[in-house]
Amino acid sequence: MTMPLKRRMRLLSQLAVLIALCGLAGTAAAGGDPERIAADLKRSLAQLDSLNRSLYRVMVGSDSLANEMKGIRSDDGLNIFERRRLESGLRQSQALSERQDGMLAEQNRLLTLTRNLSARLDSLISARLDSLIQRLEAAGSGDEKTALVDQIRRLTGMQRRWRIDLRARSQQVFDPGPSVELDDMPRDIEAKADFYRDREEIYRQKADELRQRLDKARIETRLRGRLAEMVDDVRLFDQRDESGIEAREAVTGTDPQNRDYLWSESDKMAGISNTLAIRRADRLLDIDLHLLPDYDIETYLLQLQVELDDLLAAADSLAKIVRACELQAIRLRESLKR
Amino acid sequence: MNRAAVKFSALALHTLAAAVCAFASPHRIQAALEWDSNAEEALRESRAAHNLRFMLHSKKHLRRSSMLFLGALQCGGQFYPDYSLEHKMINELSAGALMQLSPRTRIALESTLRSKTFFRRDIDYVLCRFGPSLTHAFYGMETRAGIEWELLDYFNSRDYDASTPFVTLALGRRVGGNLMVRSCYARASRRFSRESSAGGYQRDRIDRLDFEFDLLWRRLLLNLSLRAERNRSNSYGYSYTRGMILFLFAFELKDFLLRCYGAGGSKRYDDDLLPFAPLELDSEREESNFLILDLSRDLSSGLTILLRAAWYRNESPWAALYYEKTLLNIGFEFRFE
Repeated sequence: MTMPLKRRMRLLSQLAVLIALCGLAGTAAAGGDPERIAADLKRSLAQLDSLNRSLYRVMVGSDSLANEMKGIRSDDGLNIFERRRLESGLRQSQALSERQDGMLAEQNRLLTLTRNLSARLDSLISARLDSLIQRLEAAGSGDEKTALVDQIRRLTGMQRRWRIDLRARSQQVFDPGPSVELDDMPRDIEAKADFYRDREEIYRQKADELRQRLDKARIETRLRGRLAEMVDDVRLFDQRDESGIEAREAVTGTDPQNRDYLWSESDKMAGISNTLAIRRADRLLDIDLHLLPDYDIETYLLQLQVELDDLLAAADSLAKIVRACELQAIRLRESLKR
Repeated sequence: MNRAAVKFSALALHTLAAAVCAFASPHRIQAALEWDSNAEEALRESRAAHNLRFMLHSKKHLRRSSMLFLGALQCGGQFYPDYSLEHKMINELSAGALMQLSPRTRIALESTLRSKTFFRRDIDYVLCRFGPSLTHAFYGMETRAGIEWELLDYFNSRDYDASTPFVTLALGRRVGGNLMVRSCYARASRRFSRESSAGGYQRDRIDRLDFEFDLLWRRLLLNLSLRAERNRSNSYGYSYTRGMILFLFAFELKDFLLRCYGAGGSKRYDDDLLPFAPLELDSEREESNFLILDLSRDLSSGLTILLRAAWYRNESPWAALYYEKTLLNIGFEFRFE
């Protein structure tokens, strides 16, 4: 009876060591070749662009379908053809909505991948540059120095190109909506200014909600983290109930909304439509912090901060547009009077 | 041969601990001076002693698409200048891999290896825990089901070694804005290497039910657990029923943080004649009643001063006999990436 127990003990100990080694191997695998990562990043950005275009088309289709259905529903007493059109429209709308959700999930996945890859690429290039510079300082012969300088130049060029590209993409976030046309009358411009003002108000309200959630989440995370640390300390040194079953493990981490969103980070590069920003903020507000695992909370706080900054930046831009529209309307009205 | 396997595990643990340290981040280092009113955990004629405590805690997680790898290392040392019998080191290495199967479902494989080494006593041991779990969400409720094995091996004794497979089922749901309710049921079957009074080897069947309430109100975080436990042993004298209440709270006031961790309960043995031999070799492996108060203040973003007072009334290695001790602790904690 003793032998099987010991044999199992040995087997399981070895398995535990194996798992730990796998974890370490995974950690060690975090490194890599900048060219390969750059190629992966390029591929994921191309996929993201293509997906964004498709998503835009789906959203436009969804909007026009909604308008069409609104027209049908506004009429009283539907005849059989109208009813069929309405039913068909509802089915299409549902299909489009499902497709849109799927695409948004895929978009989030690609954004996470892109962000991770760009961070890895940047840190890898920086680390490699540091090492090359050190080697350059210690290099003896002229040929060696020239080769090292070439490598440094190539890497700095690559880093600069990627930074410019990513910055340009991150600036696509804000789409101000309908723009003022040359033949617009003052009344049209004021109507557009009202539209922008309403949108700005919505953004600021949502930003306030996000700020409140962020403050609360920060307090809660800090308190939970410090409490967990104290329990860890106590259990390591003092009395520890190791008697088999540890029933107090937290049940965390699979709330569908949480998982769907947090396993894929949001990003500033999403810029298709401003309604997406509100939608992203809503999804973040829907997440229940209690159901998040520890390792996702940091990401969640970061996302709240990023969304808050995005919304405030968008609201500020809208405020500027409102002022510009108002000024333009005044000037146009004066010139028309003259 | 078996002892060699255990020592191999311990050696592997220490090697991995060093390797994890090189990779992991963030780190937390703690150094403290402690006064212990009963260093030997004696039932009477207790002996007070001072000790120095050091601790390192490092964590790392790595995400690869739908996979997540977790690793943590916690090492501690406790040194008594006037009482070298209690010098000890504790190392704990945890590793895990999680895979998101769908937005609602996740599987995990987790493992913990813990070794406790006394410098001048022969009660060193290794504890290994290993097992998969499945977490799924439905109707706003989270469920977690897991199977785990726990193996305990004392280096110099066979009688206290045990193998414990156990299953757990946990449910969690948010009730209201800031209140979370969880329940967890666990069933374990522990087989010892020692003989039972009924013949064969001793086998304990343990059922445990926990209800946990978690509340956040302003800057107060409160966690309360109610626990009921029943142990049915095939060896005379070991069966018992236990009820416990565990609580944790943290309260932040300006720059100070007050933390509290406590438990209280009763344990009742079924039989009149209690086990004659000790239940455990290490007297620190049982928690019964305790209250720990911790007051800390951040001196800077990385440095914290800690004041901790703890009182224990734990069951000793001899059944139904309790020892008391008080710990007073002052220390510093340093965090860095």
